[in-house]
Amino acid sequence: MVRPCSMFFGVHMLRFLLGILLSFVLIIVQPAGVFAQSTDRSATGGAQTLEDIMARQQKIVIDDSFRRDVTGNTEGAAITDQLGTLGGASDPDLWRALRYGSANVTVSTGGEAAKSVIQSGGMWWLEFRRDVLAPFGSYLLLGTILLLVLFYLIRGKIRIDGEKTGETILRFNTIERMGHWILGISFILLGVTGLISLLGRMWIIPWLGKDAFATLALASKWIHNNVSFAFILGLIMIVVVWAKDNIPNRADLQWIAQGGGIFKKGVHPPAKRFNAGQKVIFWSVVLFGSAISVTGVSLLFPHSIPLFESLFQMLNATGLPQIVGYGEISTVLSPQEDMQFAQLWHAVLAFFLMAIVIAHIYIGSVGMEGAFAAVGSGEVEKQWAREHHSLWVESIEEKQPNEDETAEAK
Amino acid sequence: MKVIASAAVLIAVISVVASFSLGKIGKSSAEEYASPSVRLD
Repeated sequence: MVRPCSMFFGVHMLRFLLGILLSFVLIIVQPAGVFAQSTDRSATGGAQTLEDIMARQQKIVIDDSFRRDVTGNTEGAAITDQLGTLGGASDPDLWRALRYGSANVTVSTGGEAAKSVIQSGGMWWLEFRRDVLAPFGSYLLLGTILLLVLFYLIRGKIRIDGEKTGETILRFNTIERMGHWILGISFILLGVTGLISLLGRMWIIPWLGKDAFATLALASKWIHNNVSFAFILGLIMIVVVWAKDNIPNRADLQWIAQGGGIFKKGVHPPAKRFNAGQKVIFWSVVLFGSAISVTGVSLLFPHSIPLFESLFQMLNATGLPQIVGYGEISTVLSPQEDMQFAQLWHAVLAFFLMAIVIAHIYIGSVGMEGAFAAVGSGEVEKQWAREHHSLWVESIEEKQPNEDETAEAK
Repeated sequence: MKVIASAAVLIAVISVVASFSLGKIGKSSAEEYASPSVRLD
């Protein structure tokens, strides 16, 4: 039975995580709000001025209706019914119509996506991916590794403080460990191949050359596309077997107040089957992993599963972007723009999840004595379990005599 | 360690099956996109 305090903490944690997710969305979306700009364009005959160009270079969103709407006037053309001219639309008019998606384009195949002959939003995506995502994502991962190395040098390996009993206790059964490793191995493969796809042009081509990188990139693409389904399976498995034990409870507050006991020797705050730190990792994996999976599937089937137009409409309806002063998010997206948002969202969350998982791998391997056995053999040293999951051990030991009594009674 | 090896084998099997399935979808998609024409009216 879920206790009221567990539900209270659960709701607050959920709201906290949703807040983080929303802030990520707002980081990568462009506002639809247009900065007020009154420009006299009489000198250019209504065409853009130097001021317009400068504003665009400064990334200021300007009211571009003076260009967007000037796509020719067939009614005003001198000849419209004969000779087959373009009527009142000049070549610049036609190119403007193509750029702003208002040209009457007919395609034999490919649907709406094929009708986008010019897609200006691609430049913004390309620049964000190259100038923000790749460098800051790299800093995040390298910074996480550096912090863990420093932590190891200062704190050292967290040892089992008490005397080892020589007895073991079953922590995770075969199905649980299977789910953990399907998820873990597939995530490492997806992380490495994702990094090759994003950073290879910058880091690997200068080192290996274009030919070798082409082979590597092709293999990475195959692995990334196909291993993703195993990741989704692993994600479903861990939710099924572990979600109930990861509902926050009162003991988590004590665990957090004592820093999980990881900063000081001999400090062991009580914890049930999972402590607060493990719960943060679990729910991060579930929420981030789900969002990464959904956007990944959307990218696997181009233009078939658009996500962001409806997501932005929902966000605008909540009023949250407006409250934080961001204005309404543009909900008019070309099919390509939807995929660009999917790619950025996919990669931004993947970077955060990689940083979290690196910390998880550290504490589960070199960082803590006895921790790996939980997902290795499944059996952990009883003293380790007492120090890190005392409430869980107590609940197991409480059940044990009852089972013995039942056996004796039989 | 058997569990880790089993998980790795399962991932490989799922990936190969996914590759064939996606390949079929990709093939029909490629046929759909073959020889497109674009007309501006």
